[in-house]
Amino acid sequence: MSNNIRHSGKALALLLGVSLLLTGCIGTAQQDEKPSIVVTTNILGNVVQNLVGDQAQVHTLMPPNVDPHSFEISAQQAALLHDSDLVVSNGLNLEEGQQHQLDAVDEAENNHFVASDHFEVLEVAGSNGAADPHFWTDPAKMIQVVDALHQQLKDLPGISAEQLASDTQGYRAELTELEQQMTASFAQIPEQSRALVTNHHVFGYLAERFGFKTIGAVIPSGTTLASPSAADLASLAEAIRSSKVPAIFVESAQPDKLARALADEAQVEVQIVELYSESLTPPHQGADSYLQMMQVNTERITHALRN
Amino acid sequence: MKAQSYSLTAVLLSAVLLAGCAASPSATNDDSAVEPADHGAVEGAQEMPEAPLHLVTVDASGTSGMLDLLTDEETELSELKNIQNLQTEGRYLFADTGAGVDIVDSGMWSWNHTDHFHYYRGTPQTVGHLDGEGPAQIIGGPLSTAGSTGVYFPKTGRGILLKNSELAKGNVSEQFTTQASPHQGLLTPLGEGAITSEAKSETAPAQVQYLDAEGHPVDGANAPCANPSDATQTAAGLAIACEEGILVANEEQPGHPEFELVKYPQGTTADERVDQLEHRKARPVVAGLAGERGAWVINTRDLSMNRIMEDQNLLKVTAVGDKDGNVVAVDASGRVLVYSTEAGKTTGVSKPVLQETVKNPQALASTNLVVDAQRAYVNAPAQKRVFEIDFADSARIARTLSPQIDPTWMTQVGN
Repeated sequence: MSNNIRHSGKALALLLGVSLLLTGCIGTAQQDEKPSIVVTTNILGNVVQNLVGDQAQVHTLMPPNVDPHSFEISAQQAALLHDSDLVVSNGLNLEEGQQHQLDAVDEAENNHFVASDHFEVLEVAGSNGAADPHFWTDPAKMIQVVDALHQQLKDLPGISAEQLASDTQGYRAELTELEQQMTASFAQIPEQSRALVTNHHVFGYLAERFGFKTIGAVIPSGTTLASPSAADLASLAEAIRSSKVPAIFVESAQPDKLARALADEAQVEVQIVELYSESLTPPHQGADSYLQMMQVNTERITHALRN
Repeated sequence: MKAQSYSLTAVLLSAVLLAGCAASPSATNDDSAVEPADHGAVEGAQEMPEAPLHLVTVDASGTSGMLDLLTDEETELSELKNIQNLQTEGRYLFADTGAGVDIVDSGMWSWNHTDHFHYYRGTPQTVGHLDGEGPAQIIGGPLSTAGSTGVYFPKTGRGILLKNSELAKGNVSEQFTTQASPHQGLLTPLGEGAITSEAKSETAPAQVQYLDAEGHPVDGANAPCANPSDATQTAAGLAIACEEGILVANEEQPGHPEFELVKYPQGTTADERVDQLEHRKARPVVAGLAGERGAWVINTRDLSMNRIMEDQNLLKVTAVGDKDGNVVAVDASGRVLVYSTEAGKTTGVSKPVLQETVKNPQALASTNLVVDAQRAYVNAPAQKRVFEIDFADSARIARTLSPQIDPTWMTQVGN
């Protein structure tokens, strides 16, 4: 993979970012001549880091493996937000627990880049017009956000426009390559198998971009799997039968038990595949960068649905 | 419990040293580094894909443990001796000994984010002991990591509002205390403050009064309510069982609750009034026994009250609050009954699986019926079993569980 170096750079940046949250270090950050950028989600944090390299201090608020919907920030992190040169957030209510602090950033008229201002927003399937914030599952949308970010970043004090343009170009090329990889990979899946039966609510943009149907399913709770009734499995079994897919992409505490229950009680043979959804992992744990997360998910979807 | 996050912090600290932040004296104060807010990511706890449901059982000798309903694994908990009543708000266990309350943190909880949930699994720990005289009335709040839990001792009139954020850290710490003349009453959290009961006096009728976060009564924030016997938090307000009916308190504006009374129908006798309010945690549909003839189903959202199964002598009842309006009950012959308020009829009756238990007053006294979204659980102390009931499938006994620690007392945590 072309981004090995980037990985280690990112890991260090993450360490620095979080360590700066220690009260004693905020002062140091302010003395630093580099501009300070605070990013809410770790996915956007990774993207911003790729654009600015070491030209800025990138502070990612959300640690790895955290659901952005439920994450809330500490008083120290709120102070960091307040003192930064630029705040980057996802928008569309993804950062529910931080909205209060983000509103304060806007009230103070601080520099605030909201990713969702820069692409065409989709509605959550089956909702009453609720906006879907999970744009990153479509790399084309991420490219639009990167282009808009470029414009915002170049005006920050201490940023070399030349270096930024070159780094942005480089990362943009990787995103374009990702998009091509995904298109080529999904092309291996027969048309009729392009369905994501899932209890994740994050793959709407991916589905729209690459021609998948998404079929929501109620996953029976683990406690029912020891002795399930037909009713417990009805919704999921019906979704699998009607879409005729060989694999489903659900988050379950006990995927093996669920697969067995489906086979025994509903006579449905299906593979259960896990995907990364809303957060990067810690370094070297499978999805420690946006590009890797997307590549792994693509491979898993294609592998599961192509036969 | 905190080992994992501390080791991470240690890595971060060394990164700080390398980065040249060592001059800062407060850089060693690792607690402040990634301190979580009220909820969301919590130090030492792992976010789970679904509710970490466990059955807690305590045997007659006080040995206590919990059974993981997903994996069947059992974990030992600290001893809870001389239990007269075992309660939980979904995470903490409150073992009432009749001379104070022992508190244990199961480490399992769900966090209600209004339109969706987050699930956490931490490490169980002993929280501590709260002194008191006589039985305690304990009412939890909607969230186990924020807000408070109310404990009231009718014998002495003393009330203690415990801080949930401290319980989560393993400390028994009060937000404030109250002192009333001894009466059947309660102290229950509501928003930042609490509601306390006041007995009838020469100058005022029996009522409930809202107290602010410091414990000061807020003018005009009260409602008539005699001898409140129980209260519970629902998504549509706090429900309080008063002699007059079910009083529902809501905080449209924080600090200024409004009260609405759902009255008993005319002709309801004293022994038909609700003693205990039971339901699936947070759901707006609540059930209570109507003496020896059926049960009441109260909806705190539309403020309705209906009597069901009037021809049945029920001993236990609770409401699921699902789309079928399922209500689960145990009758005097030891059968489990399921009634659907949507269908308006009984949809399932089990064999008399609790026959031995209902005939034994001592066993019946510690029998508890609980529900989650998919299953109901009832312990049969006389038979050393817990029955798992699929209420959506004609009261089918899905599993008969025999925890290693006999279920003299039983409750469910993780929800």
